[in-house]
Order: sequence, then structure tokens, then C-alpha cells
Amino acid sequence: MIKRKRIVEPLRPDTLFDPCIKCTICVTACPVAQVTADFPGPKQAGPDAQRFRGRGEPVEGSWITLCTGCHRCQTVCPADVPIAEINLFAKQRYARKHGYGLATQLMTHAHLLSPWGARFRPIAMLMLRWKLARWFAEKLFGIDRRAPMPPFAKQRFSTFLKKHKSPAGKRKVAYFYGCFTDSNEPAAGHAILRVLEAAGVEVHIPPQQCCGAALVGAGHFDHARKQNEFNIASLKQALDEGCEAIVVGSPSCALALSHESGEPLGIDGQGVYEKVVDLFTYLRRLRDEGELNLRFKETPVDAAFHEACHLTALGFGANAPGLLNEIPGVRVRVLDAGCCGLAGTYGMKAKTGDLARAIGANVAARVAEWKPQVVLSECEGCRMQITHLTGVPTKHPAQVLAEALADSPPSK
Amino acid sequence: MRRRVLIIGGGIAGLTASLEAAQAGAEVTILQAGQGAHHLFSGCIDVLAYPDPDGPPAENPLVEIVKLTGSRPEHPYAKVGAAMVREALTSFIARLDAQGLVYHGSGETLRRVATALGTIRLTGLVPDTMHGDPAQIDVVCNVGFFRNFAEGMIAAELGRRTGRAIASLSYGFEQGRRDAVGIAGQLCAPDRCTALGEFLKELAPGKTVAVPNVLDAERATEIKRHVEEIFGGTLLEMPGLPPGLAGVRMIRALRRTALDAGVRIIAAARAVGARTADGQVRGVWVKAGANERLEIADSYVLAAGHLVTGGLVSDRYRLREPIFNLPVRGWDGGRFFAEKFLTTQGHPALGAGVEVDELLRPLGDGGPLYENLFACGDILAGFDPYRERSGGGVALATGTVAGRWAAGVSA
Repeated sequence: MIKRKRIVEPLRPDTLFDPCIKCTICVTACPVAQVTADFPGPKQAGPDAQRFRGRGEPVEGSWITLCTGCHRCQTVCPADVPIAEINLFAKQRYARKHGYGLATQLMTHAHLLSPWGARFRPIAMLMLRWKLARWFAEKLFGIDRRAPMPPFAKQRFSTFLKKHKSPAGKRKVAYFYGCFTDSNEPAAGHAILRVLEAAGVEVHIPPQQCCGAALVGAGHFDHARKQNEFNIASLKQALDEGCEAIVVGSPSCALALSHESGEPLGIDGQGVYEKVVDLFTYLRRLRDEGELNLRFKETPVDAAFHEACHLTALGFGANAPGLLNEIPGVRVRVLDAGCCGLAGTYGMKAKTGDLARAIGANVAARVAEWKPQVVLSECEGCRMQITHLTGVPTKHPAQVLAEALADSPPSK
Repeated sequence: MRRRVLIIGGGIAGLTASLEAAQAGAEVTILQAGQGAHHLFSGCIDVLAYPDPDGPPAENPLVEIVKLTGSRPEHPYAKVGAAMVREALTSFIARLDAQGLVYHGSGETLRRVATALGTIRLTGLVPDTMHGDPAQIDVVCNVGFFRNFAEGMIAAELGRRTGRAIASLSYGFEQGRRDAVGIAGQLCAPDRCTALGEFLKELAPGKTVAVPNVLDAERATEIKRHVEEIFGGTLLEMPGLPPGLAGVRMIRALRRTALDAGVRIIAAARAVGARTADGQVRGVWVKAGANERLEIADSYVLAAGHLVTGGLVSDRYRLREPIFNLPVRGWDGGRFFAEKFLTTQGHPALGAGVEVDELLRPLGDGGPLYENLFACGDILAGFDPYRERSGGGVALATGTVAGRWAAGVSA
């Protein structure tokens, strides 16, 4: 009798290519595969290629850097193959050997740079608008000169929060606002805060660092791990102090704090991952329990809603359109035109900026066809890109909700 | 409060059920792990082509469905009736039409579509890009040097079947991917699309030209019209190997209809179990990443598909329904390895599924297991969609019925 030694080791996503039944649905869902011949598509780039890679073996094909990390492949996979994670590991291995490139290094560390942008706002804003400066930035750093760049905030959200005290409520949540809200677009943060407090929820602000979504997306795991070890410990403490959920403003932050911290970063979640939700999923839960008592005034808004890829990937669905459509006067239609293409730093790099714009063409076409007053999306990247491609203003859906609250001042 | 309906599965059956339930006033949520199996199929809606494995093809599928009601009461069509099938097909055509996607057919005659094997496929409803008589095809033209398309073989085989001399052409690009999605992307560039038209104008002016299923999932009609205007003929897509972009087009249009009707679609979320009590389903356990939660509704629709999409799972000996642990009937197990894999008799395991009553409630030994659970689509027992060519029609008709009962209105 032959005795076999049983090999027991934890299955990591980069070894989970076997359930792939080669059905190719991921290829039909991949935004990159639609627009370039240089990317072989998620099936070949993911499970097919992984079959030929040994553990820890470097990854050679530079096409792997063309994956935007949108997770759409994984979302449509009937066999639960973690295609996006397989690609993230491959990106990491590629980058270890070939480097990340200056543009990626700069932009995945935007959380370190943006506070300076906010501090020297007038100069920084001038540089962003100054075409010559953008040209130099493209030549020197590889940052696409036409790509949308966020403005810097007059007052950082964290500065405001230092003086803000949330009134005590029956329910209490921890709010993770993320660096973009902090340095670039505090308006979304103010709206989320206002909505939660109007719903009688006490908002606790735990100490937080960047969620590292951009770092993870570029295969830069080590820095992301450090940041999220801090975040997970801080959020764990918030849960221990009686917060019932961790409300995250941006879907990409939420994905990094729940799914990606676990895999690929390998951090022990200590019960945090299960509690991470986006704002509207939290509100929907309150509503379904009959505990959402918000009073609205008639607010005429004709909006289109863009579901960010990472919102889909969270597995909660898009809960904003349903809730917003219950406000008198508000009409929200779901775009469902695919990915906007920005994918964080992807659309800002000179190398991939054109691809990002090509990916976003379907979204742009549908916005042009519908002509909404405003496009709503929880993801700040999508908002920047959609305004960039269409010229239509964009907002976080919480902003519409906040403006429609009965005691809100009339919006400008 | 509105009645809450939770639908498991976002394929043709699930989306149809969601639309019917939403139309009846319910608050509808779809849970999906994956996104149906439409990309594996032709994009046509099969209604019923081969009612009897040894008999001739159906002349009038709807008439055959009426006959089934008497002869095979276990068939899903027998449970919902021919009138419902007709109604479901009509609504499907109208819904897609509103999204700019045209389908031809009514279920009363079989439609013929030439395939990428050179065979003639008998089906029910046909998308506009495949709508045309296969006997009129003059030329088979590969586009994009598509790997899954042997134009010479197709032309010879199709010619043999239609009794005509059919020419074959091959058109492609110097660089680029040679899979359906890659070629579709390249054809979206106006200069490429025009170049294809010019090529056909030179070599096949005014002819009926069959091409692989590589017209873009969003802009197929636009591209077809543009090419046809240049060469003055007719372009016909041929269904072939996956991914089938015609199926992708169809499901996207249905999805948009559902979203417009206010249906909430939760993707990347797998239903893994259920809470039941007193003959009622009280909630469905959902897993999405680290998050596990109970989704609660007033009624539930199981539209999770068959083996391919995980609605049923298998081990070596049997099939299992993984969410509600419903009994799977119609296959005694143990004979996964049929002597012939592809036969006109069908594979025994593919006819197996969940047995239901007239209201499409899954049955146990003593009647319906749960008052508020309805099943539809491929997961149903009593029919083999591949052998009969009936999958699309069953999905539409049973989806309609399940959606209505779930919303609390009589079907």
C-alpha cells in the first residue's frame, strides 16, 4: 500500500485557480480587455497564467500592470475564483523585480503628499491648473497631463473634526472618512456626518491612516500592511467601545479595510472586517429595521447614479438609489454603463491615462445621452473621472441626502 | 410597507422574476454570485425545438407545449401553461425593444440560425444580428482572424446543408487579440469598422455575409448598420463558442430594465444557507467576503441555475441544492459518466432538478416545503434544456410566474 503524506497548508488566493471552469464570463466583464489588445484578459492573466507560476517566482509579463484592480472579473465569476487577488499577487511579484515606477510611487503615497497640498493650497492649485507644470509632471514623473486631479481643501476635514463633538445617540458608529475626504473634498465628509447625526447616530472618529487601497492596487503590500495594521487595531478599539458598525465613505477604502486587509495583506481582522459597511448600506439597514427617521423636504434633483466597481465588490449592492428615490422630488436613475476607468492612480498615469479614458467611454456616452443635472457616486475616483469625461458635476450621494434633510438650508 | 422579495440569481429567470415582482409593487432585491450563464449560450431564446428525443423538430413550439401539458405533467411548461409562455415571450421582446435591442420571433414557429460549426440551429427568438435565413448566406467571413472560427470548414458544411456554393473570406488586423472580446473592442474603432465594410464591398458586394459573434456587447447594432451601409449587403452573426457576446448584450439590456424598475442588484454575494421555521423561509444567509449576514424578505425566489452556475452542486454520486437543501429529483445518481457525452438523448443529470407544484413552490414528500419559496429557470426538474432546446423559454415563463406569486399576486 502506498502511503501518501498529506500536505496541509492554508490555501492562499494565488493558488485558488483550480475552480476556474474557463467559462470566460470574466473576459466579457473586464473593462481593460474591451479597450486594449495588450492585456490578455482576466482569465488568461489570472487563473490561466497562475497555473504556470511557482510560489514566489517572479512574474515577467508587464501586461499585469494593466489590470486596474476593479474586481469586476471576480464579481461575475460563478466559481468564486479570486481573480482580482491572483492579479494583485502577480503585480506585487512583478513590481518586486521590475520596480513600481515613479508615478506609481508618488501617487500611491498621495496620503503623505496631499496634506502638504492642502497646506500650500494656493500654490498647489495653481500648479494643478498650470498646463506647463502638468507637462513637466508628465515628463518627469509620468503623471498624465490631462488626467483629472483633485482640488485641495481649504480646511482639512480632520482639522474640522478636532473641534466637532457628535451628540450622544442611541446608536454609535465609527466613521472612517479616508484621505481624499480629508485633504481634497471635505464636503462629502460633512454630508455623511450630517446625515448620520440627523438619523440619531453618534459618530465616533477613530484615529486613522490611509487605507492603502492605491498601494494594494499597485502591488505595494508592505506599506499598505503597516497602515492597515494601525487601522484595524484602531477600529477594533472603536468596536470595543460600543460602535455597532464601521461606516466608510468611499467604497475603495471599505474594500481595503475589509476584503483586502485580509487577503492579500494577510492581517488578522479581529472582527473588524465583518463590521465594515458603506454609508447607504448602513442607512438601508436602519430603514429595514424601521429605525431610520429622517424628514425630508421637497428637493428637485434629476440625477444619474454610477455604481463604483469597488462598491459592487463589497457585496452589499448599491443602496443609495433606492433610498434617495424615496425623497420627494428626487429622481435617480442607475447608469449601469460599466467602469469609469479611473481606477485610482491608473487613470492618472501617462502610461495608462488613455486606456482609462477609453474604458470610461461607455459611462460618458450614457451620461451624455441622459443629461442628468448631477452624477452621484460614492467613489471619489469615479466622480473625478466622470466630471473629467463629461463636464457634468458629480457628488457623493450623501450630499443629496444631506441637502434634502428638512432642516437643511436651501442648497446653492 | 411594501412586500419584500428576495431573488437568488441574476440570469434570465431571476431578472424576469424581479421585473414581474417589481411591476406588481414589491420591493425587490436580487442576490447574485456570478452573473448567469448567458455568455455560454447563443443569445437566442430557445422555446422548444425537440419535444421528443427521437421525433422530428417541433413545427409550432407553442402547440407542442400545449401537448406537453397532458403528456409530461412534470415538465415546467406543463405547470405554467402555453398561454403563460406566449405572454412571457411577448413581454421579453417588448422589454428589450425598449432598451434598443430587437428580437424576432413569437414562439409559434422555429427560427433557423446558422452556427459557427456550419450547422443550422433551431430556436425560438432570434436577436436582430442573427436574424436572416441561413439558406441565403453567400459568404462566410472570419473577422479579426478569430481563433474559434474556421471559415473554410463552416462554408463547406453550411453549403452542404443549404445546397449552395458558399465562399469563405478571412479578414483581420495585423496586431491584437484574437478572442471575441478583443476583436469586438477593435471593431469599435470607426476606422476598423469602416475598413471591414470596404473589404466586403470589394469582395462580397451586396451579399449576405455570415461573421462570428464578435460585434461589441454595447454597440452591435450600430456597427452592423455601419458595415452594411458600406457594402450594401446583410451581415449575420453566427453563434459559436463562449463567450457569446449576443448573450451578454441580452443580459445587460434585461439588467438595465430591472434597475430602471427599481430592483436592487447585490452582486458578489453568495447565498449559502437559509433560516426556516413553520413552513416558511425566514431569511437567507449571505456571504460576501468576510461579511456574513441574514437577508430577510417576505418571499423568496430561487433562480440560481443548474450545475454551471452553482444552483446545484455535485459530488461523485449525487446532486445537491446547497442553499435550502431541497430534494433534487430526476436523476438516480451514480451515472455521471454517460456512454456518450453529447447525444440527442441528453445527459441524464441535466434533466434533474427541483420539483415544484403549480405555483412553482419546491416540493417535499408531502407537498410544498415552504409557503413563500418559489423556484424558476434551469434549476427546475422535469426538462433537459439542452436536449429539448427549451432553456430560455422555461426561464422566461417560470420566472414570470415565480416573480408574480412571490409578489403576492396570482400568476
